[in-house]
Formats: sequence, structure tokens, C-alpha cells
Amino acid sequence: MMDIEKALREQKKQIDQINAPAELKPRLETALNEERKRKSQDHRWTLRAAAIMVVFLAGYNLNTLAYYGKRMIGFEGLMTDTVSELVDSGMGQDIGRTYAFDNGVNLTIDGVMIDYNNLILFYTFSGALNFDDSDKIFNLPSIYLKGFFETIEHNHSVGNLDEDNREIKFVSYYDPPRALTRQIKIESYAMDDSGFNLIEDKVTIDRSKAMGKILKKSVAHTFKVGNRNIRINELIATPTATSITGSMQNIFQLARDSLFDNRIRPNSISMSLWANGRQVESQSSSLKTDLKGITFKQDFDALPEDTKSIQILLESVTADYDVDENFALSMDNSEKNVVINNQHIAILDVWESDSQTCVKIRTGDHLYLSKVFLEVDGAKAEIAKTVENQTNKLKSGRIERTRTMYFDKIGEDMNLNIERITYKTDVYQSVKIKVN
Amino acid sequence: MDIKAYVIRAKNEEKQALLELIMYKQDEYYKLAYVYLKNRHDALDAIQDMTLILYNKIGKLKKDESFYSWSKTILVNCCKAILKKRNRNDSTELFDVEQRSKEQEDGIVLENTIKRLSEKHQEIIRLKYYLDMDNDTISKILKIPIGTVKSRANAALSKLKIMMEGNGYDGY
Repeated sequence: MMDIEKALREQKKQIDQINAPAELKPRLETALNEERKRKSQDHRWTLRAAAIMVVFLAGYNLNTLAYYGKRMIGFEGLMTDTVSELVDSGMGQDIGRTYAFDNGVNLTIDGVMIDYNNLILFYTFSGALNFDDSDKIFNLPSIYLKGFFETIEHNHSVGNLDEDNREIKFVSYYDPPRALTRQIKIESYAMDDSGFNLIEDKVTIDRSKAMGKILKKSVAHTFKVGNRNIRINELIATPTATSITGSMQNIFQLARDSLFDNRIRPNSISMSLWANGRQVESQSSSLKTDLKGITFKQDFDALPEDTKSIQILLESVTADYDVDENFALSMDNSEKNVVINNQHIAILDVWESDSQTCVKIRTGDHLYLSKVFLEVDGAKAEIAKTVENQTNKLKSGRIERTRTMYFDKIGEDMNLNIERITYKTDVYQSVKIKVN
Repeated sequence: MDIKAYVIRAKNEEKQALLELIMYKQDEYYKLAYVYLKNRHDALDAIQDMTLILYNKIGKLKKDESFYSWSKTILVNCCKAILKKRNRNDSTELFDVEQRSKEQEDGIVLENTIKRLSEKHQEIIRLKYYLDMDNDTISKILKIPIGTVKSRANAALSKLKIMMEGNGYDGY
């Protein structure tokens, strides 16, 4: 970090030597003398905004049009550039099988693309779609894939309804099947007024069409975030995507924290991937807590062909923390400031209204009280509702949110029991990965 | 210089007063425009554009003492408008000399890398490190909260570091 700052200071020295040229003053004098005061120019901004809008729309259409003529017509807008290029270069396996459901809807499996990171399925629904009723879109038959004694997990899909509402195309991303899987079983069922209708078929994987190219790198790097560790385990780059897997806690750490009521539940781990100093587009991310502990997977676009350097930048972590702090409340109109895990919470006011106790608080933008109770004369009241009051940008630039929490109990002795809070921590630490 | 008095005179359409206000901080304006536009011609254009906007809009300035932060916000917007209009992607005049020193070569690498950052990250680097502006000043000029200035600067620096290393550049 310091090296870059030093380099920037070197550049600053050069900037410091720059002075306004002597011609500035006569030039401004002439410009001002020729200028007559305008009454209003506000309409020009409207025109500019309109012009920007037109450029945006035109740009969008051109981008779409540029994909015409490719082999899988209709899927162009649904594919990433990387997948689109793979399709253009003949990668993937043509399927071209159509199945008819009893309700008149047809399903065509157009093709499949498999590598170590993904199974990508291209398919189309057509026939009696009747999408004038928008609810019908959500009633489309579901598609399930099975491998050899395994269910192939679906990750995400993108779909597009054509202009005439006659067909809808999907590109769906699944986990890849195991290496030795020869056949994939496709199950799809429609369930509507005409009853339950199951369609099953098996597709033999043409391994010559599967893309075997893979860059697998063990990263084994641990980022320290406060008193927690975030470990990046592995990076796997294939023709369709690059995935990064890691963990935040193993099952023993998870159990220990649960035992001591000191758990952390991450909501999101924000990271970016850089190849040759350029950012690689993010595709999806997932976090899960199971017998392996807290693990995560982040998917990015494929790496460029000539990748020489790879870096992972951990940007921020948003998580829910067990805190279990108690604060005595009183209705003396005095503001009370409390600090939990270095996060500031101002208790602005406490009052009674219609058999409810109202507690008005103010916090920073990314802080939420995720589990909070009010103990009133020894009895515990859950929060009944929260009403957002206002969001302020202070002079200092800090964004603060004020809201009021309502509890269905009133009494004399009151304690605010904050069991859990959620907040975002900026990290900005990176790890380099060597590429041979 | 009694800034407030000059601003009041400028509000009364005294062109000379406005000119004096601008010339009083001419180097600051020029450096600000220069770090965005990288050449003398465009920097002068931007300051001229700013001057005419100031002349036409100064009546709307509520706090006279905010003249300089307000005018610099306008200058930054003029610079961005020029960047968009001309869609320039040329190298910098600053380093465009036949005999380049090691520092200047380094400067070109650094500058070309900064250009690949997003516009928001580029400007925060230029304002913070090239012009040595503090977070409060940047916040006022760019009209963004100080917290955003800090996090944007942090993000920009982290990304710049990665990009420099991505260039195979071992550092300074």
C-alpha cells in the first residue's frame, strides 16, 4: 500500500510544479466581456437528460443486435460474453429434443455445456403458453437434473420471453455432474388444472464436447477481519467461470461460538477477482452453514486466456453478531449513547403510548439491531414493530438512520436487551495467486 | 482579499470582481482542471466554461463564503463534461517528453493504470493524492459524504495496487 502512495506522491511533486498559464486572465476577461447574462438555462439540462436517455437506449439495442446471427439464435441476450464466445466456437453439446406436456406446453432442451465449474442448460418453452396472464410465467414446468446417484443442484437461471409471447428461452446454471457421470436424467413436471404431468428423459454426455481445460489453484490464505478469520481455500478457473471457495469458521469454531453465545452469521462476503490487473465480472455468490461450518463460494467470469497474475480482494463483510448487551432505560428525555463492538447506537428518547413502550434510536447506515428485547419489570417483551423515522446525511458526511421500536409492554424498570446486531466491516485486503 | 465582499460585487454582475475571485486561486483551479483533463488546452477550456457558469449562476449561491468549494464543484463538472464530449484517451502532456527519466516512466505506468479505474475512483485518487485535498474538501467539491470519500479512497487505492501488480510492476 505504501509503495503506491509513494508513487502518487512522486506524481504530486510534478503537479505541484504546474501553474496557471499567463494567458488565463486575458482569456477569461474576453470570455466574460462577450458573455451576456442568461435568464434561465434549466431547460438545457432537460434536453441533455433526454439526450443521455436516447444514447442509453440506442446503446442497449445495438448491443443486443450485435448478437444476431450466432448459432443459438434467441439465447444471445441470456449468455455472458464468455459463454457466448464458447458457443460460437462450437463448444457445448447439441441436444435438440422436444417434449410435449398435456397442457399444450412444449419443452425443448436445446443444448448443454459442461466443465468443471458449471453445467449450463439451454432450453425453450413454447406452445400453449398464454403469457398474457403474467402469473403463467411462474407456473412453467420445473426442470430437475440428476446424475449418477446425485441430484445436480440448480444455481441460477436467466430467461427471456420473445416479443410475440410465443416462446420463452432459459439458460440455467447447475453444479457440474461428477467426473464419471455418463448420463444425465432430465425430469420436468407441469402441475396445473389439467393435473400432474411428468416428463423424464436421459441424455448421454458427450465427453468430447465437455471442456476439460482447468486451472486449479490452492490459495490457502487467511484474512484477519477483527478477531475472525476468513480463509480462501481454492480457485478453480474453467472455460465458463472462475470459482473461489473458502470458509469463515469450521464446525468446531462454530460450536465453540454457539456454546459461548458469541456467534457470527455472515450475510455477505464481498470480494472482487482481478486478472492481469483487470477486474473480472462477478456472477454469483453463496454462503452456507452446515456440518462443514460456514463456507462460501463466489463465481466470476472466466479468466482471460493470457492470465499472468491473479489477485483476490476482500472488500467487506456484513454479518450478524451475538452481543447480548443490556442497557437501563428511563423516560427522562436524556440521550444515551452506547457502544457495542465499536458500533455506536444513540438511544434518543423513550416514552409510553397506547400501552406500548417506544424507544427511538439512531445508528450508522449499515447497522441493524437484529435481535432486541425490552425487559419491563422483569418480563421480556419482543419488538412489535419498527418505524423508520428518517435518514440523515450529517455535515460530517456520516449517514445516520433514526427509527422507533415499539414494544407491547409498559412499566417502571426497563432494560433494553440487544442480543444481536448486524453491521458491515470494510476490509480491503488482497491476496496474490501465482500463475505458472 | 475580502472574499465575501468580492462575491457580493460579483453577484451584482461586476465581471471584474468575479475575475479577481478566480484569479486569486488561479493555480488551484488550473491544477484541479489539469489532473482531470491532462492538457493545457482542455484545462483552460474547462476554467472558461466554469467562469461563464459562475457568472450566470452566482446569484443562486446562498453562502458567500462557500464560493470556492461551489466553484470547484462546477469546475469538476465542466471537466467531466469535456471528458465525455471529447472521449479522449490520449496520454498525458505532463509526461510527454522525448527524454524520459525513470520517475517519468513510472509516472506513465501509474497514470495509465489510474485511467483504468472507474471515473469515481480516478477522481478520488487525483484529488486526494495529486492535489492533496483533505476528505472534507473532497466531500464538499464532489458533494458526497465524508464516509463515502474515505471508503472510495480506500477502495481506489486497493484496486490501484492490484492493477499495478497486475501490470507486472514490482512497486516503487
